[in-house]
Amino acid sequence: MGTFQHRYISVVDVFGQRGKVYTAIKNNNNNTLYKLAFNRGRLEKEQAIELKNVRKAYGSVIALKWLSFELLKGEKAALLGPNGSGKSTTLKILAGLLRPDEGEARILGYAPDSTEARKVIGYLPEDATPYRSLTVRENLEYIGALRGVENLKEKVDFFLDMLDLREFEKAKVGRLSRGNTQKLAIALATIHDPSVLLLDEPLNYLDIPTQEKVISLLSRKETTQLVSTHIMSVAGRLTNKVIMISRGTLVWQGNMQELRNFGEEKEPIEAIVARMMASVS
Amino acid sequence: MLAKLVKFVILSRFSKYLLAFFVFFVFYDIFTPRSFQGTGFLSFFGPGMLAIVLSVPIVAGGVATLKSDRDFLFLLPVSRFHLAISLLFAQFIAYGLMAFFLVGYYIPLSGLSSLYPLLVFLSLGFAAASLSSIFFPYSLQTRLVFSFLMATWCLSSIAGFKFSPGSVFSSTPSYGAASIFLLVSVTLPLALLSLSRSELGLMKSVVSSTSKEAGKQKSFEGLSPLKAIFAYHFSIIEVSGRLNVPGGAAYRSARISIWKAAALTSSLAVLYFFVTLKFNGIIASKFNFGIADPLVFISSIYITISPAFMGIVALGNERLWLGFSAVNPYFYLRSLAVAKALSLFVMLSPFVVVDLLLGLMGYSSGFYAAVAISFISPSCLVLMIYLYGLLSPLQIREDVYMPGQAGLKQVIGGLSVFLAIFLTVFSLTSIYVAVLCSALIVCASAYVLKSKYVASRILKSMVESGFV
Repeated sequence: MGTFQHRYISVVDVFGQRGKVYTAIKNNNNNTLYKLAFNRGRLEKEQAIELKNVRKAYGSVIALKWLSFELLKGEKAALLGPNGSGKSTTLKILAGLLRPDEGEARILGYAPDSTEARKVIGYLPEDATPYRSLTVRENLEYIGALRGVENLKEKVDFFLDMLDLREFEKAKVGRLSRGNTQKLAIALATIHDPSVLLLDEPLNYLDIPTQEKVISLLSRKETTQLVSTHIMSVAGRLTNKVIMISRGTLVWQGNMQELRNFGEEKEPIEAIVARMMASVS
Repeated sequence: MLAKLVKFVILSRFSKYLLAFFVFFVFYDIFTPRSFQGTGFLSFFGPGMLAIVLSVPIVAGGVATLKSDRDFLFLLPVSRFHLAISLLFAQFIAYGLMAFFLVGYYIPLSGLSSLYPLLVFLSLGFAAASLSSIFFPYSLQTRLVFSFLMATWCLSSIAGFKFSPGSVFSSTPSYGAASIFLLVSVTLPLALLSLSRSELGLMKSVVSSTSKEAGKQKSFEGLSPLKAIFAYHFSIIEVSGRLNVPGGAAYRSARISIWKAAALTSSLAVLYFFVTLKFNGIIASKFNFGIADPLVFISSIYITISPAFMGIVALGNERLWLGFSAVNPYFYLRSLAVAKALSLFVMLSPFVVVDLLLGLMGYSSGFYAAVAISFISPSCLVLMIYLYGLLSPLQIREDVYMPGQAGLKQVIGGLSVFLAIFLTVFSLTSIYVAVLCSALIVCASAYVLKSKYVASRILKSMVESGFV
């Protein structure tokens, strides 16, 4: 169980489905914050991403201060925050690249750096750089082979065609434009059909047609997604939930409509977000 | 204005620790009194190292230019000539440091009078810096030809040719000094001219000259993770990164098939075989080395340096979100290091065969050298990959200039090559010592390969260095 933020909890729902009993804990806007599954009286975890009281410091700089949030399976959330708010650190911890100084992170109930978690995580860092000495196809095949992807050739061909990389398949990555490099990076992060996707500014450098393709690709995937971005339109297109952090702490979480409700009529959502973030600093 | 610009350019490229280290070495090397006879080991070692100092900049090329220079510095309303001088000073530190690292200590040994060592060093550093700037725009083939010519000129002092830079280590050092002064008097103006013309166009030429299509595609389909790692790291030698020259090299992403590399080393090994047969006795009798097989000794020392060149960039192209995240990161790091070590062994194996042949033909050092090359070089590569990973791994991020800032840790990492040299030199004294040294270094590399603690420290270091 995560750390409950009592001020938001107003409704506890219990319902049954296929022999299981689910309990949904909702906030006062009737949005599900936590969903617990009980099978024959035993709790089944349904959280895909859990961060509990995580603290992380780089020397004297504290990046995360007791940050807690959870995402249920299948949820897609935008991780919003100003520069230096701890978004990338959060993603790195969830991807198993960093260990929290205190607190706990879990991916589908596993430690992020465990083998089980690595199999299900797809992570795309900001400004991702694939292997520069390998060609586009070699990159896809290499990572596919390391991840034990079945039907690798079909998978590789799918991404080459889907992301318009076919003409560059024999080109070394160092020759690619930043946009094409980003396309390849997205393909590498998702080639194993991960059930948890951690994306840091996934649409950076992409032209508008490619952005649409990537949005369509990511929207089709029945995965849990945590997308770090500065751009609200990206957040709105890729996700339905918002987790807002500033200075390493949770500012607010809820859905897009709730976020809009904080503002005046016709007030841009960016202005609402800026105001909420400023209120913390 | 010029002084400010020079200061800015230098401080934006090199850490203060590195500069302090540099200054210390200059003073230590120049002002440490030594005596020199003009014969013996140094008359071979010196020209050999000088050949490296002056030929590597020609091949590596590169202008100590950062991406931020392209974005900001080149756009400032400053004199092109002043900018050229500033960049040349940065080049001087980059290549001068290498010069001092390899030969600086020995320059005063040559018996030159008090001010000469300093002048020789300054000329040598500026010559190396100038050569890197002049040859930077040329094709790799052209640079290789000139590099070969330069190495030949430096080494010609061994054959008795006086007008060679290598003569500073002979009994006629003034000829060597004059050669170096002549070289710098030609290259320095040319370099300033070349640098004063360097603008954004130069950057574009670099981009287009690197990272072309791969000649032969590798296929990883149907391979297990271990086989895939070996298919990549055992079959391809990546000539990438900053080419190990602190502060002043360009990114190159060339890759060479291990079998092509082995064919090249086989040719060199055959050459080494016949040169040893023909000249070993002559050199041993002419110069007072105190060792039976000087050519076996010298070749082994040069071969021993190779792990450093591979070790520095071994992790340069790696990213934690790729291979390290796809499988267990400890397994990935271990497999990568072993694959690289085996590929080094394959490349060096022609020398092992030749050394064994020489051993059978009566050159007893050949046996010792074969053992040393077989075990010490690959094991040292493993240790160096881990050491560079722990200290301060070099990262290849940009496809254009990436001189970066050589930090003190990277210099310390570079010093580790002396461990390999020391062990090899020691091994060449007897077969028992060779076996003992090999056993020690193999055990040390096996330990780091096995240690999860060391691997976890490396991963942490890589995250902190931005290898995500």
